[in-house]
Amino acid sequence: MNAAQAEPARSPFRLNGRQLVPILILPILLVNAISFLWPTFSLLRMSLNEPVAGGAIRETLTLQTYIDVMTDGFYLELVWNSIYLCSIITIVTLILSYPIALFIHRADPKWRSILTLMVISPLLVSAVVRTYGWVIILGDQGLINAFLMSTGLVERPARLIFNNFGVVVGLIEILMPYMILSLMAGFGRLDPRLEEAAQSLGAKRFTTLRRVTIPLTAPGIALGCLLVFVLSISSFVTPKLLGGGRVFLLATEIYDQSIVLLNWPLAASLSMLVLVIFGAALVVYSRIVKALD
Amino acid sequence: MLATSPVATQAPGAEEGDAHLLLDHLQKSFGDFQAVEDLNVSVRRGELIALLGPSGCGKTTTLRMIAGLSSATSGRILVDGREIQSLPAHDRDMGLVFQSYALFPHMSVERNVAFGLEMRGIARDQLKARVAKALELVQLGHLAQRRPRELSGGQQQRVALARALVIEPSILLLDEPLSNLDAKLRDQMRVEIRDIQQRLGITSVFVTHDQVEALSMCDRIAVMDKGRLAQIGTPQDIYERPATPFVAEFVGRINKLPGQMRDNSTITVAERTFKTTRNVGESGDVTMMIRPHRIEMVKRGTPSDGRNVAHGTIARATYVGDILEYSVELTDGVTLAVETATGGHSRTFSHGDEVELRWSPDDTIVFGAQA
Amino acid sequence: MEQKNSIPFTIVVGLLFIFLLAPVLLVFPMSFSGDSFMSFPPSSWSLRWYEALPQNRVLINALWTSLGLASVVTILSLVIAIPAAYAIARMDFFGREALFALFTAPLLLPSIVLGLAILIVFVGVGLISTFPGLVLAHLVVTLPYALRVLATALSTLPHQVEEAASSLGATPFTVFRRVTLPLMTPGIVAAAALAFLVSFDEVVISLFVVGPRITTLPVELYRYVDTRADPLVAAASVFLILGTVAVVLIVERTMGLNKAVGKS
Repeated sequence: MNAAQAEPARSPFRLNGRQLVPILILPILLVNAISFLWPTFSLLRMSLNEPVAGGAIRETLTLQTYIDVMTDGFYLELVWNSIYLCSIITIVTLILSYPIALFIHRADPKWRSILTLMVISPLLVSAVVRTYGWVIILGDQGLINAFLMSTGLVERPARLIFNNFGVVVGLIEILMPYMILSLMAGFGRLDPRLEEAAQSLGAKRFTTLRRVTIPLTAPGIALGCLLVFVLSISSFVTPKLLGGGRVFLLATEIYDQSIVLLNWPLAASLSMLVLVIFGAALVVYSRIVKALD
Repeated sequence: MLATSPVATQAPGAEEGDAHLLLDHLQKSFGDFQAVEDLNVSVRRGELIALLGPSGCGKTTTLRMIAGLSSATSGRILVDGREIQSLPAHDRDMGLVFQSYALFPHMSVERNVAFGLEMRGIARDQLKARVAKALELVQLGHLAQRRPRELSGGQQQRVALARALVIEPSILLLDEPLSNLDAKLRDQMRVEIRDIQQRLGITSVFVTHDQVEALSMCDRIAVMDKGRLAQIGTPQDIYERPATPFVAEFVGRINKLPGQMRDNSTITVAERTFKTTRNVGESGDVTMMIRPHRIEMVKRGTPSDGRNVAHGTIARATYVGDILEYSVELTDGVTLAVETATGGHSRTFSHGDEVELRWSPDDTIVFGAQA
Repeated sequence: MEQKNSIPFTIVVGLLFIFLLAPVLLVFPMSFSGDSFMSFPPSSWSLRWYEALPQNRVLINALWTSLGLASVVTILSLVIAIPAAYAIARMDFFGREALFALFTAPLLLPSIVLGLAILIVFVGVGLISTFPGLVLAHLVVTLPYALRVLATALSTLPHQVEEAASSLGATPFTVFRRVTLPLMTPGIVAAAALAFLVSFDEVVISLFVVGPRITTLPVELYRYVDTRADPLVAAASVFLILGTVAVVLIVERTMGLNKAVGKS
């Protein structure tokens, strides 16, 4: 090699200049720290404090609120009621969504995009508005009761909201688009020729569905169920409005404890419980996906 | 310092002071993978040089290092004796033509071509004149207002060329510019690019995996194999005097027969002996190579004239337009490919014909046998 | 050949679609009710609820707050997420994937949990019932969406077009301004629309941050439905739905237009 050459001047701008990275991500990091990381840690910390009468909080490190939740019959029932209702919601949502997803998958391309738009559009409408729509349908003087009364089937309006039924129906409808979209994503691997092959081998339509279609679309089913379960257990607006204070679920209880009763340590512990249920659902989901592979 | 590679057959005088572009011990590794290893190439002013090799040989990586889109792990890149390897791409003054053309989809043809001049702060009227001239050069003046997506592949390619040339770069870099075009257009663009390059006298580096492109367009060819320079030389050098078995096989078709050297000029293949004048110190197990079109095929019994002779039967004859490809089975099962020109006075043979093959010891290439 | 949908199957799916869309569609006839309380079908028709809507100071004030809030949140989301998306999609640095996971993690938390967590911190620093507090709370959910959309848009952008620009003498900043940014317009429009709609519709987190001094439209609508049962909300909902349709159409147009003039 020659004698050392003079190093040419470096331009102030270098593509892939790594020194730029901190500047580029600093703003988002700040927002994330202020409105996500710090609050999340504070929430965890809050769940270890002790509530004192009248909304005051004593800073300490105790598992007392967790123990209260685990031993108090009311909260145990609340947890089981939440899991039970959300499981029902998940299963019924799947049953009602599957035909729509299958139909869209089989429709010709022009209809497919129109129908997909129809599935997505409710997602763009506020949950408050959609829940209000269910009050119009299920309310004491709503559409269903008007129909039932006019046919003489009932004399007084049937109770369709402010109970579990109303909450379940409302949440199913509100969460259906998520299920349908997950199923459609899973249907991507469904080759129509496989269904035809099954039928050419003599399988009846229902047998084809049970033995070929559903197993092949199982990953989409698993994803949709995870999504709907997780979203239903954390949903607040619909259970609150359609439950009318008579349906007790984890999310509504977190709100009541934190805003109405000002028992933040308890609300924080219940929040942690929701996250634990989330984690459990994720574990079950990944087990199922692994088993399917 | 001389930029010589181990097997280079460089013309004398390709020294640092003389070279327009010089790659000096250029090296690029991605983790453990050596993409380019100790590459030394010197490009003369006004020369069109090809970097030829199969995919993954490091030729595109080399081009990207010259353009400044990828940084060299070690080594130097010099233009007119000035080191540029630490300059960013936008300060290198290279015209770059991509395989995918990489035109700006949101700008008209005119704006695409003007972009580089705008970056150089060229005044409006002068800019307009230069853009018009560049578009005229590639015969696209009438399409100046079109968007790239409204153009055919060949037209897009010309816009990319005009865009790279209008800035009057010191060096033009072309990365497989013809591989997205159909065969006929490719032939046409080959001539056109070579013509423009010679008219402008611009030093150019042309990356390709297509040996026909490299042989027909370029002043010199640098053949790369697994990140290393296998051979550099004129198309004739590369084709007639391949430096390695890899070059012999990659550039053009070639017959390959295993044999042993008897003495410095005699090879035994199975039971036969052949003469060669092309042995450079090999002994023992060797590979003998002959280009199919250097083999003459005659009817058996024609008197020999000191050339190598082998007897065989036509196993297959394939007509491919301007040439006939034969597969000739020698008596002991060895097969040789032979090509003859169609038409004219060369006679044609058909399946089952017994023939005699002859070729000159000068065309009998010998390499040491590989493990 | 595709398997055809049979007629009985089509009918079943039609009924399911009615179930899916009924709540949204019924809001329209409900808004023209002449009754003073919610009853369906209404006993008479009128425009009285549309006339009552502008008289409701609380809802109107909340509407202006929500529009201002969604606009500020949208602009900030873009300003913050575009550089971050560029770093994450285009640069190679240690911890890149971990940071991306961290920045999108707020989407994994239920709003009710996130809302409570934000309440606990914001009370201490005086951000409750303030505009900046609402902006920060909304950003935490809009940024992950914006970041994802923009990072996807950037990573599908052909790299070579940018390299071509830089080989023509453009500095990295010029490449970004003249090539990258124009080419990612569809992604920016989509991210902006998403951020605007998410912020404008956000209820649960807002419920924890609003207060006597400031409140948002979804929160006020929620409270209205929670305490009263008259068709006023139906009239408001009609405007909300039409507004959403307008945003979606703008996005469609912009993207469609962009496809027509730009991307091949």
